[in-house]
Amino acid sequence: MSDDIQGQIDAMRRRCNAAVFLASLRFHLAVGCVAAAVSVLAVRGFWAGGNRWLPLLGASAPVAFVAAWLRTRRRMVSPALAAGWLDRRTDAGGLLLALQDVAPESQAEWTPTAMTIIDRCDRPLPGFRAGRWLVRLLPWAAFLAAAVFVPQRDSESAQARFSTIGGQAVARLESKFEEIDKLGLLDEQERREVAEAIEKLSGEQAGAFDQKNWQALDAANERLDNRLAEARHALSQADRALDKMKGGASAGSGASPESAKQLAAALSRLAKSPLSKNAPADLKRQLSELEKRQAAGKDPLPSDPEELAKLVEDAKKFVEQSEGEMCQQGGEGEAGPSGQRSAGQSGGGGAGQKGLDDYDLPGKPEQEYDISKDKGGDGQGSQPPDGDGGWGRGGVNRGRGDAPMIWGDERKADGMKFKPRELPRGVIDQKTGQVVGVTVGNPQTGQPGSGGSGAAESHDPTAGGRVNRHDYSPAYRGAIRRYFSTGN
Amino acid sequence: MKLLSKDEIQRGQELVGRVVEGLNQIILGKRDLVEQAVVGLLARGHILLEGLPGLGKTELVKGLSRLLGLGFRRVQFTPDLLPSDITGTYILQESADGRRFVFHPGPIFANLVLADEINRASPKTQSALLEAMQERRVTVLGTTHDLPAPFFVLATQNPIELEGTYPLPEAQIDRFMLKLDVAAASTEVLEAIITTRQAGQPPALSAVLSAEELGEAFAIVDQVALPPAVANYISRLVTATHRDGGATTGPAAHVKFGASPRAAIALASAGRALALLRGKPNVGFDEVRALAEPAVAHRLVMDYSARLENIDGRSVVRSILASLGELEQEMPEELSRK
Repeated sequence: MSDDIQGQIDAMRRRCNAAVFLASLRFHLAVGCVAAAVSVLAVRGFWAGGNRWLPLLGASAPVAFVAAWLRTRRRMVSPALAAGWLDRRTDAGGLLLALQDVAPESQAEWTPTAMTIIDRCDRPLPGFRAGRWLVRLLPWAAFLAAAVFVPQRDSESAQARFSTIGGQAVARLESKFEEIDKLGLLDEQERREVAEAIEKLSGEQAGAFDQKNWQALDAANERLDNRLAEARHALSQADRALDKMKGGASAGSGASPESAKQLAAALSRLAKSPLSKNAPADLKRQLSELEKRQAAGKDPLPSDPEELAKLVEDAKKFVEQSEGEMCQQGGEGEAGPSGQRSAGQSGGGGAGQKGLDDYDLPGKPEQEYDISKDKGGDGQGSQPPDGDGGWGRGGVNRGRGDAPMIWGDERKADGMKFKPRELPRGVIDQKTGQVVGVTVGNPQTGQPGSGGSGAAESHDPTAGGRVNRHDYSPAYRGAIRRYFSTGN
Repeated sequence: MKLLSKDEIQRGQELVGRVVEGLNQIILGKRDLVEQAVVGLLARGHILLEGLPGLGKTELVKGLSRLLGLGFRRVQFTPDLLPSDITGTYILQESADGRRFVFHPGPIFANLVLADEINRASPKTQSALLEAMQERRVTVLGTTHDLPAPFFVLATQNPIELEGTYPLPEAQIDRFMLKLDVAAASTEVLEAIITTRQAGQPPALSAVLSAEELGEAFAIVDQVALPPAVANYISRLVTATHRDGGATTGPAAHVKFGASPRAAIALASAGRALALLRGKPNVGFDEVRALAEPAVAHRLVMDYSARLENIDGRSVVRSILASLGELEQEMPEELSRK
């Protein structure tokens, strides 16, 4: 073939190879843009590192060039194909194709004709369509650019969100444990076990707070609540027995045998209670002698009226002081000067109040929170809470529903059904109606609808003797939330 | 490979030009039809002319025979025509040596055979042409007789008269290199006909080519180059008519049986002849495109759905031509087409 025609075909071939390279480059750049954008989004979404790796994206561009070049090498345009494209473009009618492999004399004869045809064509070589090339690459590049501008994921806040519910619950348990521990209501073994449980639950906060964690948390909470309830019950009974004894003495009728018996039982229970460790030395001695007399089968109360009066007086002071301390530990600054907590606090709680009364105490004696027992404290704690349900202000009292509730994501609990679960034996002996007070477990619960609420929740044997209490798994928080959110 | 020289092409064009010029005097206003008929002859193929009565089909064939100076026979196909009426038969003759069978050749023993209204004969009679058209010889009672060279069959058929007609078998249709549709004449052509031909007869022309000159034209046609890329295009075109050629939608999906290899051979041969007519030393894509319909469409066997969709072989070929790239690979999109 003549040099002129061969030169035209070679030029066409080079141009076509360049176009093939550009097409391949566009493909690889598009793939690279998509891959880089997905990587950026993945890193931004799941990795809390910095952005120092971003320049690596620019460094990966040469990879696309190399890949495009390697791909182009396998798809190089052959001279025959370039001749065909040139033939079509110049409308040579196949002459350029025929001249590819013909005898020299034929080439010499037909080359001028072929050159005339090529020269007649305005643009025998096609131009590059740069605009089209860029437009086709633009969407993928825009995708990458948009991915780069996605804000970095805040891992700390996400982590905090993740462990908010569990962390708050553990923090409240820890706070409750410290306060009850200060009161000395826990023996050494219980103290150690609860501390270990709190430590373990604190370690679980970083991960998923699963059903076992919630159960362990509930168990520890209930153990502390039971201890607190037992102590309060002991104080309450002692207080009532002392009042009755004092009332009889002041009326001049003297103490009835039944009152004396109740007082002896109450003081015996108080002596066995961990609270007695905090009693004054004199009262400790008297209680110790009371136990000795009871162990010896004698009348546990002192026979000397003066000594009995002193014992009643000291015990009364200690009981009032202990109740005051428990209330102070439960809500510092919320109780009145008399140390009695207000009914308003017990009924509705209040935003920001954090104390023992915020905790769900099983079997909490109802009369302790009766408004008639309010000693007229004038501190902050005596003020009714704002909002719906404030005592003395009418409206619907939703109880602790007024407290701020923070709900996290509903925990996945496949296969679980929403039904009440009977708890293990609690502190009330169902046969006698007496408080056993030594078991750590939960109270015996009645069937739903078998007893009333309110007074029936009291541990007082005369007030129903059964506790209707249903322990719902935290998995049902969604249902509880819906219950409250619908204004029921 | 050697391309035809410009002198050879000029000589070929001059020879063929005489025939074309003469035919254009006989058949007015149908230059394409004349060109394709001459192409068929130069490619040494048989031609099937289809058209309504009175459009000049028979006159075209008769004119060709006169211009080429070839032996011409006309056979009017009728339903009672027998194969021996075409091929000839043995007749018992009395001679000095006694009685013996003597072969009396039929009308097929001619250079140019006009099979007028070929679809009026029964398939049995039509089949008598099979061996003659393909092998250019006939066998009668076990004896094979060669036909004179060159040998052409130019058949006509009427597409509207279906009563008493027999559709041509696929095997015979496949033996026709080109099937040419004869269209109706335009107003201007009709005006020229009635003003120049008072009795309706075309001008009586003498032969413009001798047998040697016709042979020379054949030799020149055979030397027209067929570039590999064009041959590849023809192959892909024929393959695309088959269902396994990838046609799943469009008219090509209605093809029951695609074109045979004869179609590719015919297209290449006819392309060479057309290239010579156009003064080119080689076949180009344009020649293939121009001849694809008459060379391929009649060979396609359509399925029943084609009739429902009103699709015929020509629409199939047109759709293939529209979708099939001339070169195996298109230019990169990054390059401008203009």
